[in-house]
Amino acid sequence: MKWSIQVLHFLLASIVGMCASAQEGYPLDGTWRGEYGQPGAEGTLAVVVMEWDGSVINGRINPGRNTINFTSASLNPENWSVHFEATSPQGQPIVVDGVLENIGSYTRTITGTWKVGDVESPIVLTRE
Amino acid sequence: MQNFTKKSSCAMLTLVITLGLVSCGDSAVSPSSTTAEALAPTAAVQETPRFEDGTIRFDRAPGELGYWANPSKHSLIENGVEVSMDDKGLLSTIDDAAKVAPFMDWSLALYKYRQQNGLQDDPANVCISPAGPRHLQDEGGFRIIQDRNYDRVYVMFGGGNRGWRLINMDGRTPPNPEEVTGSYYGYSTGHWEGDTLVVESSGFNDRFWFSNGGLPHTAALSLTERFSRPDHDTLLYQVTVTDPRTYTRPWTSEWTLEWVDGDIAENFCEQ
Repeated sequence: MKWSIQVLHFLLASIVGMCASAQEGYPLDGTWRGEYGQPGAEGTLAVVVMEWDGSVINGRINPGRNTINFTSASLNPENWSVHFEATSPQGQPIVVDGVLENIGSYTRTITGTWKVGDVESPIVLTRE
Repeated sequence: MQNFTKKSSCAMLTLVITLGLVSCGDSAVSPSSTTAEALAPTAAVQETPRFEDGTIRFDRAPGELGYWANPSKHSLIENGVEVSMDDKGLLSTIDDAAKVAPFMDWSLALYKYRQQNGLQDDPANVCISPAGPRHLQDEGGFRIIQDRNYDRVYVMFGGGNRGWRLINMDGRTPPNPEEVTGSYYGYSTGHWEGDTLVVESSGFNDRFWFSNGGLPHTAALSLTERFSRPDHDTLLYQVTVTDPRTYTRPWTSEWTLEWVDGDIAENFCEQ
Protein backbone atom coordinates (compact mmCIF):
# COMPACT_ATOMS: atom_id res chain seq x y z
CA MET A 1 0.00 0.00 0.00
CA LYS A 2 2.77 2.36 1.02
CA TRP A 3 4.67 1.38 -2.09
CA SER A 4 1.62 2.11 -4.24
CA ILE A 5 1.28 5.57 -2.77
CA GLN A 6 4.93 6.27 -3.42
CA VAL A 7 4.55 5.16 -7.02
CA LEU A 8 1.46 7.33 -7.35
CA HIS A 9 3.33 10.34 -5.97
CA PHE A 10 6.18 9.67 -8.37
CA LEU A 11 3.83 9.47 -11.33
CA LEU A 12 2.05 12.65 -10.26
CA ALA A 13 5.33 14.45 -9.84
CA SER A 14 6.40 13.27 -13.30
CA ILE A 15 3.18 14.51 -14.88
CA VAL A 16 3.48 17.84 -13.12
CA GLY A 17 7.13 18.07 -14.13
CA MET A 18 6.40 17.39 -17.76
CA CYS A 19 3.62 19.95 -17.84
CA ALA A 20 5.78 22.50 -16.06
CA SER A 21 8.27 22.42 -18.91
CA ALA A 22 5.86 24.41 -21.10
CA GLN A 23 6.57 28.09 -20.93
CA GLU A 24 6.28 30.20 -24.04
CA GLY A 25 3.47 28.56 -25.96
CA TYR A 26 -0.24 28.57 -25.28
CA PRO A 27 -0.62 30.77 -22.18
CA LEU A 28 -2.79 28.33 -20.23
CA ASP A 29 -0.70 25.22 -20.86
CA GLY A 30 0.83 23.82 -17.72
CA THR A 31 0.09 23.21 -14.07
CA TRP A 32 -1.54 25.82 -11.85
CA ARG A 33 -1.96 25.85 -8.10
CA GLY A 34 -4.01 27.99 -5.73
CA GLU A 35 -6.31 27.97 -2.72
CA TYR A 36 -9.95 28.92 -2.63
CA GLY A 37 -12.13 29.55 0.38
CA GLN A 38 -13.76 32.30 2.34
CA PRO A 39 -11.48 35.05 3.65
CA GLY A 40 -10.11 34.14 7.08
CA ALA A 41 -10.98 30.48 6.73
CA GLU A 42 -8.58 27.70 5.90
CA GLY A 43 -8.29 27.47 2.11
CA THR A 44 -8.80 24.42 -0.06
CA LEU A 45 -5.92 23.56 -2.32
CA ALA A 46 -6.64 23.20 -6.02
CA VAL A 47 -4.21 21.96 -8.64
CA VAL A 48 -5.28 22.52 -12.22
CA VAL A 49 -3.60 21.11 -15.31
CA MET A 50 -4.48 22.55 -18.70
CA GLU A 51 -3.42 21.73 -22.24
CA TRP A 52 -4.49 23.30 -25.53
CA ASP A 53 -4.89 20.79 -28.37
CA GLY A 54 -5.52 23.32 -31.11
CA SER A 55 -9.26 23.51 -30.74
CA VAL A 56 -10.11 22.62 -27.14
CA ILE A 57 -8.57 23.39 -23.76
CA ASN A 58 -8.38 20.07 -21.98
CA GLY A 59 -8.07 20.28 -18.25
CA ARG A 60 -8.38 18.49 -14.97
CA ILE A 61 -8.59 19.50 -11.37
CA ASN A 62 -6.52 17.74 -8.71
CA PRO A 63 -5.05 15.07 -11.00
CA GLY A 64 -4.75 11.73 -9.32
CA ARG A 65 -7.24 9.25 -7.92
CA ASN A 66 -9.95 11.90 -7.61
CA THR A 67 -9.34 13.76 -10.85
CA ILE A 68 -12.12 16.05 -11.97
CA ASN A 69 -12.12 16.63 -15.71
CA PHE A 70 -13.18 19.93 -17.24
CA THR A 71 -16.51 19.91 -18.99
CA SER A 72 -15.67 23.14 -20.81
CA ALA A 73 -13.00 25.81 -20.89
CA SER A 74 -12.26 28.97 -22.80
CA LEU A 75 -9.70 31.76 -23.09
CA ASN A 76 -10.65 35.11 -24.57
CA PRO A 77 -7.45 36.58 -26.00
CA GLU A 78 -8.98 40.05 -26.29
CA ASN A 79 -8.85 40.53 -22.53
CA TRP A 80 -7.18 37.24 -21.47
CA SER A 81 -10.23 36.19 -19.49
CA VAL A 82 -10.37 32.53 -18.53
CA HIS A 83 -13.43 30.42 -17.85
CA PHE A 84 -13.70 26.74 -17.07
CA GLU A 85 -16.32 24.40 -15.70
CA ALA A 86 -16.37 20.95 -14.17
CA THR A 87 -18.55 18.85 -11.91
CA SER A 88 -17.42 17.77 -8.45
CA PRO A 89 -17.64 14.10 -7.41
CA GLN A 90 -20.66 15.12 -5.33
CA GLY A 91 -22.34 16.43 -8.44
CA GLN A 92 -21.89 20.12 -7.67
CA PRO A 93 -21.02 22.42 -10.53
CA ILE A 94 -17.57 24.03 -10.38
CA VAL A 95 -17.28 27.30 -12.27
CA VAL A 96 -14.04 29.28 -12.40
CA ASP A 97 -13.68 32.73 -13.91
CA GLY A 98 -10.55 34.81 -13.90
CA VAL A 99 -8.11 36.94 -15.80
CA LEU A 100 -4.69 35.88 -16.92
CA GLU A 101 -2.10 38.30 -15.58
CA ASN A 102 1.62 38.81 -16.02
CA ILE A 103 1.41 36.77 -19.18
CA GLY A 104 5.09 37.02 -20.06
CA SER A 105 6.14 35.40 -16.81
CA TYR A 106 6.70 31.69 -16.26
CA THR A 107 4.81 32.05 -12.98
CA ARG A 108 1.88 33.94 -14.44
CA THR A 109 -1.40 33.99 -12.57
CA ILE A 110 -5.13 33.66 -13.05
CA THR A 111 -6.96 35.90 -10.62
CA GLY A 112 -10.69 35.44 -10.19
CA THR A 113 -13.32 33.35 -8.50
CA TRP A 114 -13.83 29.66 -7.80
CA LYS A 115 -17.44 28.72 -7.39
CA VAL A 116 -18.60 25.34 -6.09
CA GLY A 117 -22.35 25.04 -6.11
CA ASP A 118 -23.57 28.37 -4.81
CA VAL A 119 -20.44 29.20 -2.84
CA GLU A 120 -18.10 31.59 -4.57
CA SER A 121 -14.55 32.24 -3.32
CA PRO A 122 -11.68 34.35 -4.54
CA ILE A 123 -8.71 32.49 -5.96
CA VAL A 124 -5.31 33.17 -7.44
CA LEU A 125 -3.96 30.30 -9.49
CA THR A 126 -0.23 30.52 -10.05
CA ARG A 127 1.49 28.64 -12.82
CA GLU A 128 4.15 26.24 -11.65
CA MET B 1 68.51 31.31 -60.86
CA GLN B 2 64.81 30.91 -60.97
CA ASN B 3 64.35 34.51 -59.84
CA PHE B 4 66.68 35.65 -62.50
CA THR B 5 64.70 33.83 -65.15
CA LYS B 6 61.43 35.32 -63.94
CA LYS B 7 62.88 38.80 -63.87
CA SER B 8 64.23 38.40 -67.37
CA SER B 9 60.93 37.17 -68.67
CA CYS B 10 59.16 40.03 -67.03
CA ALA B 11 61.51 42.57 -68.54
CA MET B 12 61.06 41.09 -71.95
CA LEU B 13 57.30 41.10 -71.58
CA THR B 14 57.31 44.74 -70.54
CA LEU B 15 59.33 45.62 -73.58
CA VAL B 16 57.01 43.81 -75.89
CA ILE B 17 53.94 45.50 -74.41
CA THR B 18 55.59 48.88 -74.61
CA LEU B 19 56.32 48.40 -78.28
CA GLY B 20 52.81 47.23 -78.84
CA LEU B 21 53.98 44.56 -81.19
CA VAL B 22 52.43 41.50 -79.71
CA SER B 23 49.82 40.48 -77.22
CA CYS B 24 51.00 38.26 -74.42
CA GLY B 25 48.09 36.46 -72.80
CA ASP B 26 46.17 38.23 -70.05
CA SER B 27 48.91 40.72 -69.34
CA ALA B 28 49.09 42.42 -72.68
CA VAL B 29 45.76 43.93 -73.56
CA SER B 30 44.30 47.28 -74.43
CA PRO B 31 43.50 49.65 -71.54
CA SER B 32 39.76 49.18 -71.91
CA SER B 33 39.84 45.40 -71.87
CA THR B 34 42.33 45.46 -69.02
CA THR B 35 39.74 47.22 -66.88
CA ALA B 36 37.01 44.77 -67.79
CA GLU B 37 39.12 41.74 -67.16
CA ALA B 38 40.50 43.11 -63.92
CA LEU B 39 36.98 43.51 -62.62
CA ALA B 40 35.84 40.15 -63.87
CA PRO B 41 37.26 37.98 -61.08
CA THR B 42 35.58 40.00 -58.32
CA ALA B 43 32.30 40.58 -60.12
CA ALA B 44 31.88 37.01 -61.26
CA VAL B 45 29.78 34.69 -59.19
CA GLN B 46 31.86 31.84 -57.87
CA GLU B 47 30.49 28.41 -58.48
CA THR B 48 28.91 26.38 -55.73
CA PRO B 49 31.59 24.25 -54.11
CA ARG B 50 31.02 20.50 -54.22
CA PHE B 51 32.53 17.33 -52.89
CA GLU B 52 34.18 14.96 -55.33
CA ASP B 53 30.96 13.05 -55.83
CA GLY B 54 29.12 16.24 -56.76
CA THR B 55 27.31 16.76 -53.46
CA ILE B 56 26.91 20.40 -52.51
CA ARG B 57 29.38 21.54 -49.88
CA PHE B 58 27.77 23.92 -47.39
CA ASP B 59 30.88 24.56 -45.33
CA ARG B 60 34.43 25.56 -46.04
CA ALA B 61 36.57 23.84 -48.57
CA PRO B 62 39.90 22.68 -47.13
CA GLY B 63 42.09 25.68 -46.46
CA GLU B 64 39.21 28.13 -46.60
CA LEU B 65 37.69 30.18 -43.81
CA GLY B 66 34.13 31.39 -43.71
CA TYR B 67 30.63 30.97 -42.31
CA TRP B 68 27.05 31.99 -43.01
CA ALA B 69 25.71 35.29 -41.71
CA ASN B 70 23.93 38.52 -42.67
CA PRO B 71 20.42 37.17 -43.22
CA SER B 72 18.26 39.10 -45.66
CA LYS B 73 15.38 38.94 -43.15
CA HIS B 74 15.49 39.27 -39.38
CA SER B 75 12.23 37.57 -38.46
CA LEU B 76 10.00 34.92 -39.91
CA ILE B 77 7.47 36.57 -42.19
CA GLU B 78 5.22 34.64 -44.49
CA ASN B 79 6.45 34.76 -48.07
CA GLY B 80 4.81 37.50 -50.09
CA VAL B 81 4.13 39.69 -47.07
CA GLU B 82 5.86 43.06 -46.84
CA VAL B 83 6.03 44.63 -43.41
CA SER B 84 8.56 46.94 -41.85
CA MET B 85 10.45 45.76 -38.77
CA ASP B 86 13.82 46.27 -37.15
CA ASP B 87 16.67 43.78 -36.72
CA LYS B 88 15.03 42.33 -33.61
CA GLY B 89 11.77 41.69 -35.39
CA LEU B 90 10.00 44.64 -33.79
CA LEU B 91 7.29 45.88 -36.14
CA SER B 92 7.25 49.53 -37.17
CA THR B 93 3.51 49.49 -36.67
CA ILE B 94 1.53 47.00 -34.61
CA ASP B 95 -1.24 47.21 -37.21
CA ASP B 96 0.89 44.94 -39.40
CA ALA B 97 0.95 42.14 -36.83
CA ALA B 98 -1.80 40.05 -38.39
CA LYS B 99 -0.01 40.06 -41.77
CA VAL B 100 3.12 38.35 -40.50
CA ALA B 101 1.71 34.82 -40.28
CA PRO B 102 -1.66 33.01 -40.29
CA PHE B 103 -2.20 33.31 -36.55
CA MET B 104 -4.95 31.84 -34.43
CA ASP B 105 -6.68 34.41 -32.24
CA TRP B 106 -4.64 33.58 -29.16
CA SER B 107 -1.29 33.55 -30.93
CA LEU B 108 -1.97 36.89 -32.61
CA ALA B 109 -2.89 38.36 -29.24
CA LEU B 110 0.28 36.96 -27.66
CA TYR B 111 2.43 38.17 -30.57
CA LYS B 112 0.96 41.66 -30.19
CA TYR B 113 1.52 41.54 -26.43
CA ARG B 114 5.18 40.67 -26.92
CA GLN B 115 5.58 43.34 -29.58
CA GLN B 116 3.90 46.01 -27.52
CA ASN B 117 6.07 45.42 -24.48
CA GLY B 118 9.19 45.76 -26.59
CA LEU B 119 10.08 42.04 -26.57
CA GLN B 120 10.98 42.29 -22.89
CA ASP B 121 9.94 38.70 -22.23
CA ASP B 122 12.30 37.23 -24.80
CA PRO B 123 13.80 34.09 -23.19
CA ALA B 124 17.06 34.94 -24.95
CA ASN B 125 17.33 37.89 -22.56
CA VAL B 126 17.99 35.40 -19.80
CA CYS B 127 20.32 33.30 -21.93
CA ILE B 128 17.77 30.70 -22.96
CA SER B 129 19.02 29.84 -26.40
CA PRO B 130 17.12 30.81 -29.49
CA ALA B 131 16.31 27.77 -31.58
CA GLY B 132 14.58 26.69 -34.74
CA PRO B 133 14.85 29.12 -37.65
CA ARG B 134 15.73 31.95 -35.29
CA HIS B 135 19.23 30.62 -34.93
CA LEU B 136 19.74 31.12 -38.64
CA GLN B 137 18.96 34.81 -38.28
CA ASP B 138 21.28 35.37 -35.36
CA GLU B 139 24.01 37.90 -35.97
CA GLY B 140 26.57 35.40 -34.68
CA GLY B 141 26.25 33.37 -37.87
CA PHE B 142 26.57 29.61 -38.24
CA ARG B 143 28.29 26.82 -40.09
CA ILE B 144 26.80 23.74 -41.71
CA ILE B 145 29.23 20.87 -41.34
CA GLN B 146 28.58 17.72 -43.32
CA ASP B 147 29.96 14.66 -41.54
CA ARG B 148 29.75 12.25 -44.42
CA ASN B 149 31.43 9.40 -42.56
CA TYR B 150 28.52 9.16 -40.16
CA ASP B 151 25.74 10.49 -42.41
CA ARG B 152 25.14 13.50 -40.21
CA VAL B 153 25.04 17.24 -40.61
CA TYR B 154 25.93 19.54 -37.76
CA VAL B 155 24.77 23.12 -37.66
CA MET B 156 27.10 25.03 -35.36
CA PHE B 157 25.82 28.35 -34.12
CA GLY B 158 27.82 31.47 -33.38
CA GLY B 159 24.98 33.14 -31.51
CA GLY B 160 22.80 32.27 -28.56
CA ASN B 161 24.52 29.73 -26.39
CA ARG B 162 26.88 28.81 -29.21
CA GLY B 163 25.30 25.39 -29.41
CA TRP B 164 25.03 22.91 -32.20
CA ARG B 165 22.25 21.00 -33.85
CA LEU B 166 22.30 17.50 -35.32
CA ILE B 167 20.59 16.44 -38.54
CA ASN B 168 20.49 12.69 -39.14
CA MET B 169 21.06 11.81 -42.79
CA ASP B 170 21.04 8.02 -42.50
CA GLY B 171 17.43 7.49 -43.49
CA ARG B 172 16.20 6.72 -40.00
CA THR B 173 12.57 7.21 -39.06
CA PRO B 174 12.19 10.01 -36.53
CA PRO B 175 10.44 9.23 -33.26
CA ASN B 176 6.81 10.11 -32.81
CA PRO B 177 6.90 13.67 -31.43
CA GLU B 178 4.03 12.76 -29.10
CA GLU B 179 6.28 10.20 -27.44
CA VAL B 180 9.40 12.26 -26.83
CA THR B 181 10.26 14.93 -24.33
CA GLY B 182 10.44 18.11 -26.35
CA SER B 183 13.83 19.74 -26.74
CA TYR B 184 15.11 23.10 -27.89
CA TYR B 185 16.50 21.88 -31.21
CA GLY B 186 13.99 19.08 -31.78
CA TYR B 187 14.77 15.91 -33.68
CA SER B 188 15.91 16.37 -37.26
CA THR B 189 16.25 14.04 -40.21
CA GLY B 190 17.47 15.13 -43.61
CA HIS B 191 17.67 13.98 -47.18
CA TRP B 192 18.70 15.38 -50.52
CA GLU B 193 16.33 16.50 -53.23
CA GLY B 194 18.72 17.27 -56.06
CA ASP B 195 21.05 19.93 -54.72
CA THR B 196 18.71 20.87 -51.88
CA LEU B 197 19.13 19.57 -48.36
CA VAL B 198 15.64 18.98 -46.98
CA VAL B 199 15.33 18.69 -43.20
CA GLU B 200 12.25 17.62 -41.26
CA SER B 201 12.18 18.51 -37.56
CA SER B 202 9.73 17.97 -34.72
CA GLY B 203 9.84 17.21 -31.01
CA PHE B 204 10.42 20.78 -29.86
CA ASN B 205 9.61 22.19 -26.48
CA ASP B 206 7.99 25.60 -26.21
CA ARG B 207 10.46 27.25 -23.88
CA PHE B 208 12.11 29.38 -26.56
CA TRP B 209 11.10 31.85 -29.24
CA PHE B 210 11.56 30.28 -32.64
CA SER B 211 11.73 33.65 -34.38
CA ASN B 212 12.89 37.13 -33.59
CA GLY B 213 9.91 39.32 -32.82
CA GLY B 214 8.19 36.82 -30.54
CA LEU B 215 6.16 34.61 -32.88
CA PRO B 216 4.53 32.00 -30.63
CA HIS B 217 4.69 28.25 -31.09
CA THR B 218 3.70 25.15 -29.13
CA ALA B 219 5.23 21.72 -28.71
CA ALA B 220 3.22 20.70 -31.79
CA LEU B 221 5.64 22.68 -33.97
CA SER B 222 7.19 20.90 -36.91
CA LEU B 223 9.46 22.39 -39.54
CA THR B 224 10.44 21.53 -43.07
CA GLU B 225 13.63 23.34 -43.94
CA ARG B 226 15.25 23.51 -47.35
CA PHE B 227 18.89 24.54 -47.61
CA SER B 228 20.48 25.25 -50.98
CA ARG B 229 23.61 27.03 -52.14
CA PRO B 230 23.01 28.55 -55.56
CA ASP B 231 26.55 29.95 -55.66
CA HIS B 232 29.61 30.08 -53.46
CA ASP B 233 28.52 33.15 -51.52
CA THR B 234 24.78 32.56 -51.14
CA LEU B 235 22.77 30.24 -48.94
CA LEU B 236 19.06 30.08 -49.66
CA TYR B 237 17.00 28.99 -46.66
CA GLN B 238 13.33 28.17 -46.81
CA VAL B 239 11.24 26.96 -43.88
CA THR B 240 7.67 25.74 -43.77
CA VAL B 241 6.12 26.09 -40.33
CA THR B 242 3.40 23.69 -39.24
CA ASP B 243 1.87 24.15 -35.81
CA PRO B 244 -1.84 23.39 -35.78
CA ARG B 245 -2.15 24.68 -32.22
CA THR B 246 -0.80 28.11 -33.12
CA TYR B 247 -1.36 28.80 -36.84
CA THR B 248 -4.41 28.17 -38.96
CA ARG B 249 -2.39 26.54 -41.75
CA PRO B 250 1.22 25.72 -42.67
CA TRP B 251 3.14 28.71 -43.95
CA THR B 252 6.51 29.37 -45.50
CA SER B 253 9.22 31.95 -45.06
CA GLU B 254 12.57 32.23 -46.77
CA TRP B 255 15.67 34.35 -46.79
CA THR B 256 19.22 34.32 -48.00
CA LEU B 257 22.49 34.44 -46.11
CA GLU B 258 25.94 35.50 -47.18
CA TRP B 259 29.20 33.62 -47.00
CA VAL B 260 31.40 35.71 -44.74
CA ASP B 261 35.16 35.33 -44.75
CA GLY B 262 36.87 34.56 -41.48
CA ASP B 263 35.81 32.62 -38.46
CA ILE B 264 32.84 32.84 -36.12
CA ALA B 265 33.69 35.19 -33.29
CA GLU B 266 33.56 34.03 -29.70
CA ASN B 267 30.30 35.02 -28.13
CA PHE B 268 28.77 33.75 -24.94
CA CYS B 269 25.50 34.72 -23.32
CA GLU B 270 26.03 35.93 -19.78
CA GLN B 271 23.61 37.42 -17.34
